[in-house]
Amino acid sequence: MPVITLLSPKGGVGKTTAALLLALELADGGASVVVVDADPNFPLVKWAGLPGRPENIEVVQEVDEDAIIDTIDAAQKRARFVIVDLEGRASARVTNALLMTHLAIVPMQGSVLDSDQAARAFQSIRRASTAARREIAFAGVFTRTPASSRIRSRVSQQIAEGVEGAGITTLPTSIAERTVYRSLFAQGGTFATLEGTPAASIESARANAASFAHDVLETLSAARAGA
Amino acid sequence: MSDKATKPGGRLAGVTSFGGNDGDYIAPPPREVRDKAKQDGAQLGFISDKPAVPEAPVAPKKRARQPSQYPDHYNLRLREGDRERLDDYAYRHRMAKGEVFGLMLDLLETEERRKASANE
Repeated sequence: MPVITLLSPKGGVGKTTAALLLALELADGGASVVVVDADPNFPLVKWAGLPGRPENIEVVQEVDEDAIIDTIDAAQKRARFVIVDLEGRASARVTNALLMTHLAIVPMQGSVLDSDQAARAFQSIRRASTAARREIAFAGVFTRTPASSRIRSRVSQQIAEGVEGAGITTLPTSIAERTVYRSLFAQGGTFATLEGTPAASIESARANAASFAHDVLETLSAARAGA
Repeated sequence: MSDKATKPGGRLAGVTSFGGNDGDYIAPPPREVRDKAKQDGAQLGFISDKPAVPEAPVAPKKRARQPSQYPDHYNLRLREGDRERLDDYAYRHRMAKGEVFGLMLDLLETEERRKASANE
């Protein structure tokens, strides 16, 4: 039932990766998941076309800015979770998807350009909240962070402080830059079906994804409690 | 901010508890809410890909009538031997050919004026 939307006006920040990781973790927990692929390149539809897609994950494509409302509505009636992956562009499709969203997640990398675009995304969520006359919960998540290092650059640190100073929640877990995630899109399937990748790498990636999904559910739960 | 797994990495026990609550349902918003949201979003650059109003069929442009650059316009239809007759006239009256041509045009204009006044 909850609709979780991943958005950012900038491309390449990790929206689709985050959407797939979340879908895989939720499905692994036994929930039915519908993923609405609203990126005109349909990366998740392509992933779903590869072998190994779990049966409880359904991927539907939708790029029409008006029809996306009905697509999300239909999805929330038939699945326990709906994940909407939007394109990396500012469009009315984003606005309409937000009107049907419980929790909006804004992936961002530790760069000035990314944080500027993330700020636009947060503004658009607030405006959509006002128009919809209900609170749309949102949070940022740092993505594509170095997997081997836990040291932030000065710019990243400053951006994180700025986001925190603006009262914007960020998920405690960052999504790291990992080859395993790219392999998921190349091979299809889940962490369990990946081949040709060291087991330790898969386990680290899997733990990162589980931690991210846990944070999303915690945020969703907190938003529901606050509503 | 760390990507290190600090949370349990196994199955997510709380997952199924989120379903089945009708209070979570978001009904599709009415048209006015969508329009307001779209308008607000457009101010931030989240613009629609669709044209605001359906484009009206473009009517073919009417060409503006240009004023004639040469108002004194004559169409001359020459019959066989006309050229020779003009040359012969110029020779016999010791006139330049251009002068004969001017004389011919004067006669034509006089004739046209006569016809025009006759029609009135």
